[in-house]
Amino acid sequence: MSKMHTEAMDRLSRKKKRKKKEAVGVWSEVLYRLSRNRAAIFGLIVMFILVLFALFPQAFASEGYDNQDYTRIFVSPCLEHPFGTDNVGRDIFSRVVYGARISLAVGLMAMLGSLVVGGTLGALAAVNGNVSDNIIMRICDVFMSIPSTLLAISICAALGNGMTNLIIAITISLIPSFSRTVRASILTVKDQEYIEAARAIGASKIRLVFRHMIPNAMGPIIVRATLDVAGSITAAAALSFIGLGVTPPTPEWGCMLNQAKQYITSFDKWYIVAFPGIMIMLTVFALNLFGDGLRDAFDPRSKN
Amino acid sequence: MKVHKRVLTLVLALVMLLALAACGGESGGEETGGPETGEVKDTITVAVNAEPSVLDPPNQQSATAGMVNVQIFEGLVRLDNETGEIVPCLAESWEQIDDYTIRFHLRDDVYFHDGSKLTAEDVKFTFDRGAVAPMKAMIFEPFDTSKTKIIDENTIELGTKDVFPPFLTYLTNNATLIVSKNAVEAAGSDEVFGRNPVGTGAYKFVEWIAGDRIVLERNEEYWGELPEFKNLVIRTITDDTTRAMALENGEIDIAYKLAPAQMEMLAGSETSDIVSFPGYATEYCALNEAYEPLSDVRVRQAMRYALDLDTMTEIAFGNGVVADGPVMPNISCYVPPAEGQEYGQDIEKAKALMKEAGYENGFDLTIAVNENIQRSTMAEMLANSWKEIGINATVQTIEFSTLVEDMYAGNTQAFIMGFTAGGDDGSFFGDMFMTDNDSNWIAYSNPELDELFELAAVEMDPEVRNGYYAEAQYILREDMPWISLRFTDNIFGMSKELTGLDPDPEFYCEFRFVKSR
Repeated sequence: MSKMHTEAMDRLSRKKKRKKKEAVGVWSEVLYRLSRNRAAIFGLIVMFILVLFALFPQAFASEGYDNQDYTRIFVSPCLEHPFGTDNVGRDIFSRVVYGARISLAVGLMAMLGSLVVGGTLGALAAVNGNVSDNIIMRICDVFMSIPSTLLAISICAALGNGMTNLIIAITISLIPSFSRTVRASILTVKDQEYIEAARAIGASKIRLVFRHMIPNAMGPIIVRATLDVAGSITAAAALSFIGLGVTPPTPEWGCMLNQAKQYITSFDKWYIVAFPGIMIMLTVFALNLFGDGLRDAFDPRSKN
Repeated sequence: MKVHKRVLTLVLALVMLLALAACGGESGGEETGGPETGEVKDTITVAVNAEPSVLDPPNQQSATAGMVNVQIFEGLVRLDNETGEIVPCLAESWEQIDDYTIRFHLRDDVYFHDGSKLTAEDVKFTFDRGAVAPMKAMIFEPFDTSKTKIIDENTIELGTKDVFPPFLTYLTNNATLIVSKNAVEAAGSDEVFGRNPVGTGAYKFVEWIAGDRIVLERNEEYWGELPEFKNLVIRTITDDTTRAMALENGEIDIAYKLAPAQMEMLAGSETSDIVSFPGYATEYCALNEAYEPLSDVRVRQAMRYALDLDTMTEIAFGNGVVADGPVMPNISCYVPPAEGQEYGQDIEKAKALMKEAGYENGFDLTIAVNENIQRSTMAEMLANSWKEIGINATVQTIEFSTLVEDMYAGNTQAFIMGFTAGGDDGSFFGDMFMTDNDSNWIAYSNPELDELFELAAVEMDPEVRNGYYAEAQYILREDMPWISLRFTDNIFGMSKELTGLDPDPEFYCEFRFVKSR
């Protein structure tokens, strides 16, 4: 983490940056740097395909996700069923495609939820400081002292199965770390001259936060959010795998893995376990590559 | 550059994982070296799929507890699983005094594990205690403890409230295993006794490591033939795959309950066999009539006609035979379905019945099921098939104890469960279906059926009794309070070095009969 630099260095580099690329603007600069990062672009392409899967599953899947056909159980991957069929004769490829919708939805919703709640908390703590900072952060500390998976498991167990509860559980487990990120990034910009200047000409607190602080603290937050989507997807898969998330026949990848795990010792049926697993891995890998790329793009100094 | 580094990291991580797996394999191999190194094998380890509840016959609630109990405790009589006959055990002989009373002559050479001698007092104590035990009320209900008479130290008379033909069958049930009066009183409470059981069996209790294992040791003072193995360890391995793998790599000797996928894996095994025998167990989907649409018999029949049960249950359970009613074929009162009760898959007929019942647009239905993979697969298939006739069915997976609570409270719509008959008698089936009975969780009621079970319960002539039960089966197949799914076999995986697994239809196998090859 390159957050160790002093404020002076920060100011210096910012000045330099502004001088050099004043006309281009920070955002297009970020995009430019991102486009030079091949790994990030790879991640982006994979994500794009997954989003297509999620939005238009009918266009890719050859059939519905719960089309059982007992005359074709355990078909190995072939042209008709590229990923094979499962124990009740469902096309695994179709299920995997429909599963993208659930995984991405859970990931995005959980991220947005924790962004809104955690972000607000973090901003409140950072801007108000003192007592409210202390209270909010100590509560977050308490939550952070519980391993997030364990927290999600207990919330899920308390609320019961279902996609909504799954999203709620993951959101809650993400909030503390998210509010920390937001608080930290706002603190770094809080005492900058331009904020002081804005305050001096009488900008309201709300305007200060939304017009000046958040836009300038956006980099780390976006990176965090991207990585959290990946984290949420794994968490959702993990919870469904242990039977706490969505229930069958929903083609959630973790849920598919859970049902497939009984065949983990039958090597001739490798495809039942392999493909949902590969999809989870690929998605998370792509998101992580993209998130890393974003971080590099926002913070060129962290490179090398 | 960055990508290369990542790929390299990934490859290294994979290599590490593989290396770890390889190490695991090797150490596993060493552990199993016991028999090959010439040591005499003196322990059998059995793995069961669920932690036993309490080791106290009238208070146990789980099948695996019953299985441990039969190693530690014995009853007055027992069922010989080779011949199917009821043979003497703690009682060496008995005679019918009148329609209500049987006199038992106890063996004179039986001692409990705590050293006290088995007497008529212990038998009386067992039945007095059972009479107030809520879990097994069904088994003790026919007995009348006020009629219990101790003749002398080794002779006792037990009485029933009414004429009760299946008297001896009920005494083979593991709830009536004889406990030591001394030990129960010394323990102070049922809970303590349930964790420190004292019986007369061939194995005595040593220790119980919660969540892991129960250790038993040969009872050297045992009155019968001593078991070959000195130690018997019952381990709890809940995951089906892990349990089968443990058997395959020699960690355990006997694995209870193999799922289809594991049977397939063990089928080609060089170290273990699959031992299976038909039992008194059935899997069913209950349809709770408290839920409006399910109260119409036409809807229930339509739901059955919508199913290709042969194929579906074969896929889900992978053993046994498809069920044609609640009563298993190896129960002596079983009758095959009458003409017109075969219920082959017939979607048209199902739709017609739904329409007749006024549900041509279908209805919503929740199928509750626990995490059991076989049952949840079954539930998925049921939901899928019922969509064809317009029923919008969803599967709800819940934890077993919660499901049981919901079931007792009648809060379910449809649920999948297993049922094991308590013995070879038709009376064991009445409890689930008789009007307002405690075990009738599905608000099913048919006065005609109630009458048949009541008549059968007091009928001494076995042929007439079974006639009543045959009629009852006809009604149950017609009314369809359950969609009976599959009569499942008891499936054990056993090391090839062992033989002689006791084929108990309730799966309460006595491991004292296990021998090495």
